[in-house]
Amino acid sequence: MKLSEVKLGETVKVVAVSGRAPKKRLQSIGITRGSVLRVEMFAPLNGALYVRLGQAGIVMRREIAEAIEAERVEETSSRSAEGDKK
Amino acid sequence: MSACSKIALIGFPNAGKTTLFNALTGAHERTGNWHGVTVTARGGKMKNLPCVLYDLPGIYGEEATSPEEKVTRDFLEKEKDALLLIAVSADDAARGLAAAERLIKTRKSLVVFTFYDAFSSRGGKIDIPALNADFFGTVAVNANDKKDISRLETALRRALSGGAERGDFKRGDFKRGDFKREDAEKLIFSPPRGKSVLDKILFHKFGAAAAFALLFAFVFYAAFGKYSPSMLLTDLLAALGKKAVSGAREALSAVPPWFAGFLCDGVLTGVFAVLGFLPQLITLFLFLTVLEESGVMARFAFMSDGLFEKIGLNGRAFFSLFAGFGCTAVAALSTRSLDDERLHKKTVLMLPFVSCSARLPVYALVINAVFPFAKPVLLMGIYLLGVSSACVFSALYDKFCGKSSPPLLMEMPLLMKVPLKKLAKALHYYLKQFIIRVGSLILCVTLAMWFLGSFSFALEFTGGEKSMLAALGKGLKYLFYPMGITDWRVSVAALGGIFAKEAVAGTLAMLFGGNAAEAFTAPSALAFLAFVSLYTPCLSALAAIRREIGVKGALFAGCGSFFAGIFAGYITFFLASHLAALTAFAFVFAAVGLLKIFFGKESGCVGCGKCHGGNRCEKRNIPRKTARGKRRAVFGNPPRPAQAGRQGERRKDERGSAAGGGG
Repeated sequence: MKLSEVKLGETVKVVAVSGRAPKKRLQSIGITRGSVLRVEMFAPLNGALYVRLGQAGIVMRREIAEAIEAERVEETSSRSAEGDKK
Repeated sequence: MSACSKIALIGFPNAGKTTLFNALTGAHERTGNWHGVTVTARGGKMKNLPCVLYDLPGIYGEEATSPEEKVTRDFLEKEKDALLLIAVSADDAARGLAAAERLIKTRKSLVVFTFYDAFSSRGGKIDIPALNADFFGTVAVNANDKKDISRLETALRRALSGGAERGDFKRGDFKRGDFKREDAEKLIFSPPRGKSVLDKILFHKFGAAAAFALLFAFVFYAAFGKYSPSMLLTDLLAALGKKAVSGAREALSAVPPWFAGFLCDGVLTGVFAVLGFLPQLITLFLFLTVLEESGVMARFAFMSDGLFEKIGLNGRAFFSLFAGFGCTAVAALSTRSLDDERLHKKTVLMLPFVSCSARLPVYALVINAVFPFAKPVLLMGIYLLGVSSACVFSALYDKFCGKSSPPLLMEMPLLMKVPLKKLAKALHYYLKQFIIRVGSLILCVTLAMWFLGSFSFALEFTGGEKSMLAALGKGLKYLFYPMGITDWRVSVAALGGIFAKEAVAGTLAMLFGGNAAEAFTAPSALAFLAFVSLYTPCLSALAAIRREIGVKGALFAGCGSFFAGIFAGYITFFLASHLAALTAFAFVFAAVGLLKIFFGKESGCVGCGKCHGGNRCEKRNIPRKTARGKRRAVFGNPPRPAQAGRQGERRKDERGSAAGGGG
């Protein structure tokens, strides 16, 4: 489904970024195929979409969200890691 | 170890590149990135390695969306052998890795996770050894910790000596480019973060509206309000200026009068004029910088994007336009930090339509003389005229010059306190720019005006009615005839307004001795008000506009607004003096409006957003189209023929501009 059609609070994974979206801008902001996004809210008045990618918040206009295909994934807190700085 | 190799430091702005750079090279560089400053890849010799470290300004150089990106991209293309030091904030690992993935897979690189201390104290963990073993060379540091920095330097040495090929730290047979990012991400654990109270307000529909309204009102009042420290200081400076001028005149009584005039009415007046701007400038810029650096402005831009997108603006541009109600010159300068160049230009061009506070005395004078009873209504009307003209201009500009900004896509920064040092540096930069570029121009222009106003065409030092300025004004009076104004004193006053808007009221008062009413009838007064509200802004503003968008832009703004004012004046006079026409016009307007309300409502999408951009409106049980069959909020490019029939509901082709997608 389109990113703009995802229900609020759901976590999705990007499967495709259509040519109508600014692919390179998206990539340089960190959204590519495989990115896991959590849809948090829409701005009022048919406005922009706020998604969370990891810890970062990213906002985008509806048109861009409509050009991104995503599928639902289970909400997982990322699997763990041991180890430290070294 | 390769001799004098180059290392390129890249990463998101929030990754703390500058701190790393300073730590590795011993530099003390400032952070700061407002466009207009020449952007280069800053190079510095590293302290403990025989290499030069380059701090690349852009992010990942993927797309040349800005001069910074271009510099990065060019550098990467040129220096194919440079080792990439990719800085990723540990908090932001997922995003950083996604953006850097291509570079990691195709070039020699070392990933350094910064702010690791804060990250792990929050409970975060990154399995560095595993990443090193199977994916890519990486280190985690706290950039302020000397021990961490030397670990980073060790890692860099190994990377330089050929170990930056994947898996050098454990496995040597790993081929570059063949890891899956999701697998790498599994080694990163990031605990979720809660929302602060302030954010809860700022992201709420009504909370945000209230908060931002209050905020902007406060900033506006602080910079331009009558009793604010800023304006009190301005008044003080003006009084000082007067004193200085008269004092100087006395002191120079022995000197030939034209020279005294040059120094006092020309130079001194000009200098104090420039100084007079400083309090407002400093105040507005102070608040603007705080709003931007703290992240509040980004939140405003996000929440208001739905509203402003329709007229081709964004929240940040609105702030500058709003400041235009205070002072056009200051507002023009405040557009400096608008990222998008085309939006920047458009915003600056819209400013002349916004009635600055210096025009108020003129409004007051005319309204008091002719219709003192209707003051509030008329004032509202004037401001409304300005705002609607600005919107019309915006729509026309978009139509003829293309959509003025790429769709909003940005990282929402965390709310943070603004370090004083940063504030001071930003302010220092703005002030320097203002005084050097704008201030000098204002001074020149003041001198020119003094010259025109003090010498006749015969170059006789006379001033007053025989001067060139007065002659020009008298010549201009014919321009005002279609507004019902035939008195040359009005056109002279209007001309003076190009110099400084306050001069219009002053000149009118002086020339008419308080009986301004005799120059205006009711319709012509309205016409004059319309003219004054739209015509050329003062020369200081034009100087600021020139600073922002160049000479051609300033000329366009000056002439265009002048004609807009004249045009508005003519139309207003016509409508006002032909009440029948006005009433008919009003009726038609109201009728169209009512029709839209009653018939538009029943069918079509109104953009309430409840469908979240889907293709069907559940509320009205119709496909998501407006009454005219267009689809709301469309993307800029026309669809290719193959896609036109893809989703059955989409029947009509999308129109080009998003601003035109509405009903």
